[in-house]
Amino acid sequence: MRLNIVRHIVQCLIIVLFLSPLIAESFLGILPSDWFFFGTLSSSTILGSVVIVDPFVALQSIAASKQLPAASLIIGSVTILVLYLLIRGRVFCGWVCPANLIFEIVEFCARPLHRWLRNQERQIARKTRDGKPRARLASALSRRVKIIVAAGVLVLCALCGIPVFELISPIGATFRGLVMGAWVGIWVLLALVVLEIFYPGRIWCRKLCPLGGFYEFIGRLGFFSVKIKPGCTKCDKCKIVCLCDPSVLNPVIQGSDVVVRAGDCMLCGKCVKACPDDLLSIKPVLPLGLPKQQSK
Amino acid sequence: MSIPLPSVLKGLAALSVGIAAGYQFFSTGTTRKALLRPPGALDEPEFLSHCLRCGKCGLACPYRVIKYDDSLSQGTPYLIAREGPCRLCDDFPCIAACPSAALAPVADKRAVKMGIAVIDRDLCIALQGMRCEVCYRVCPLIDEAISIEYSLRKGDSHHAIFEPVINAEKCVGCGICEERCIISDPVAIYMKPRGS
Repeated sequence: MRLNIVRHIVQCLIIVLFLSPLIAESFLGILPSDWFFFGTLSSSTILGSVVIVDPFVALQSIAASKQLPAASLIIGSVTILVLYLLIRGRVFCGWVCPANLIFEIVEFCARPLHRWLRNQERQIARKTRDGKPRARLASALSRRVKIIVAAGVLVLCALCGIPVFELISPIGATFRGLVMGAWVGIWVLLALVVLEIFYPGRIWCRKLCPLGGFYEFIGRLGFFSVKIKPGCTKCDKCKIVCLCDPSVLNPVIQGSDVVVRAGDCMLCGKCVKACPDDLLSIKPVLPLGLPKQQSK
Repeated sequence: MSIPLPSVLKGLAALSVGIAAGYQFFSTGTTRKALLRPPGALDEPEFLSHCLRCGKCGLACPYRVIKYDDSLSQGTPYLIAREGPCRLCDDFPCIAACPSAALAPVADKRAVKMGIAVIDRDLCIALQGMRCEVCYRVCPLIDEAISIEYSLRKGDSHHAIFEPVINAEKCVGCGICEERCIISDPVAIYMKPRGS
């Protein structure tokens, strides 16, 4: 099965889902609240009664207000949390987040430019330094930086008394703009797209996004993971295609573990398809297991 | 020595990102006067901390009059009474849609406190001796939040003035009077948001 195609279809369906109440309103004259689904990525209502809330927004609001949250806030965010924890935290990033889809498209379209930039830099490096091009900006940061960003956002929320990330969030910025006329996120998103074009390496999703950091933090608790069978030839093809951060594959490639446990993995399935020996697969795995040496 | 093309491109990209960020910072940093919040809204600082900026109150509003702020309180809901006042629905769908109780439940429409209406006595034509009473007639709390007070016109023993008077205790600040007022630019009756 082409998991990656299924994933792209899901990503597009999510966008359609969020825009559907507006489409229904303008073409069918149905009020958004009478439609089966309405809301934004922060919070939505399904079938007029089931409320779901982005747990990181809920945390920001609780940190900002320093008060006991409303029952609907807790129920809504726990519902989402449980759903993701049944699979894997960062499934949100890989399968739901519209920003991730946008950056995937940008990366795909800018690939010739990235190749050209890389070649140019190699040529310059050959003339000026000892032949080694400078490391990419993105690879200078650890994948865990986004957890610190997430924690920083929560501290800032508590200090300022407002859910600060929601003011500028580029995630779902288009729905926010269309649904709410709040377009700030679109500028942040555009700025990040420009960055992605000229500083390749998915720096936002891999290193900086606090929402991704939050899901990375709980990511290890999921019940599904990428598993490896013995026989890895260390060709690194999986690392080249890895959507989250290629370093998460290191333990299974080096043989020190049979499962990709890092919270970063978003189960995009790209490594599964890339492996020339079909050694990788997505399997149900009990969370919080200890590393298991690969049998030789 | 000439600067290599990749560095020029990267520099231009970084510069444009910087300009966009700066533009955004300065355009959102402008302070503005208090906003007329939807019914049930908590006091302003608490409201700003509770509100998730999810946009559901605006989607739930059957009249679709809730707008979203684009200044520093980015994405928080408010109304412009002249363009679309709150109709004080019996079931308050906006409050029901709020997941974080930033819009807290109210007992009934009399318990709403969005603000109060203020009449500009220099602009109101009733004070010039004409009978208008539009604000009085359209008020959902007629004879409670607004009443007509009669008085003799100054220096005129035959004609009376029928002046609309707001009861600040009872007025909920829905803004229907401001929407309907026949005087424009500026309107003779306007909403003073709670906490301003």
